Amino acid sequence: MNNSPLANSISISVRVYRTLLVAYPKKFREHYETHMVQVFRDSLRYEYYRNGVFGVIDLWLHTCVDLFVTALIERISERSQIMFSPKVIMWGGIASAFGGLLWVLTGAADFTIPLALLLTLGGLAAIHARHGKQAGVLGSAGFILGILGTGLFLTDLLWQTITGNSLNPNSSLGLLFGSGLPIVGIGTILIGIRTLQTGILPRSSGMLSFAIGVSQIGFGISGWLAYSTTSDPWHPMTIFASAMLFFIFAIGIFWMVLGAIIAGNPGWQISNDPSASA
Amino acid sequence: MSETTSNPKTTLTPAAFHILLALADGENHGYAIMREVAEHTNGKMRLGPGTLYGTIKRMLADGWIEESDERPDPQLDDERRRYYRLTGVGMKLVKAEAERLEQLVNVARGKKLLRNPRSV
Repeated sequence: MNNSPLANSISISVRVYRTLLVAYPKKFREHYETHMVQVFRDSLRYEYYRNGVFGVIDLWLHTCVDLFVTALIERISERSQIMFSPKVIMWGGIASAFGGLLWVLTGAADFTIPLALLLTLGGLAAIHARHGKQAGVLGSAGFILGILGTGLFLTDLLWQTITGNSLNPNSSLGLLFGSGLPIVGIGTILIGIRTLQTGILPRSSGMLSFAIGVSQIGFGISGWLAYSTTSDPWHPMTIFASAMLFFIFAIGIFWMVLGAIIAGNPGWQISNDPSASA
Repeated sequence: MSETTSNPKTTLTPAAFHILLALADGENHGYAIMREVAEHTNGKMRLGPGTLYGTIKRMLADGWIEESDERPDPQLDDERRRYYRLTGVGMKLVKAEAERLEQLVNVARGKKLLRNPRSV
């Protein structure tokens, strides 16, 4: 290249552009950096000869917006691929199996239920990731309800921890927070139905999700009935308290089995490729 | 290859459609695709390098286009350039999208939003 002002300005522009490409994920840069720089250099020459300095300024403005937007898209796409990776799905399955174990051990320590819920939310996330693009409205709604219900349930527990008192189950706030687990249950049922529809996991996993959802709704309702009729349903144990125990064990056992199935079937479905939306 | 690959109902993004259209009459490299898109649209659609190669990346993954090993005369062209061409699926998609747009144009004509080409 000669040392004319044009050659110098193009060279500087290209160097700056090449530096800015660091905004893209490494893998994307490895594939396309050379070609993007070449296209940018060609565009610079074209604009300079056609529209002079104003053309170059206009190209820079346009390129900066393009770079910002597309680098963000590529970064998000890269994150999605990590989220949908078989390894993450497998760990979600393992987490939910442990969550199931904690459900069974409920009562052993205060932290078991919130931790069990968070771990089994990992299971729902793993199934959702396994559904990928086939999650559809049903699967996505199920996952969102799972997050929402877990949030409500944890807020209820947090309230109890901070104030030292349980909310009146018949008050509107008590009903709202008390609905957390049934909402998780509805979400889990929806995910189970979608799993059966897509056949992306063994049929038994769809049935188990369905059974977990029903048990969670049963646990939520029996808990509400137990605490709305007496302040201590455990001494003596009421029928609703017995039902709560039954559902707790059912949720725990079902999640342990489902977690094992998810962990054993983390395989990548090509149709899950988040990049498949050009 | 994704489930969108052979689905004729797949809706293309504007960038993807213009790139497929630019490749409909033969293989080309990135900068030439970018210039052709700008010319087709009277400069209204400007693909930046990020949009161009981001879309190309996804279309390669979907099997709509493929890299071409053939090169024009090396004397006339930079051998570092990468050439792309349509696959059969890509050709089907661009045809389907062009037909969809044609139908919309016909609807617009029926509503007298556009003049009939014969009367121009």
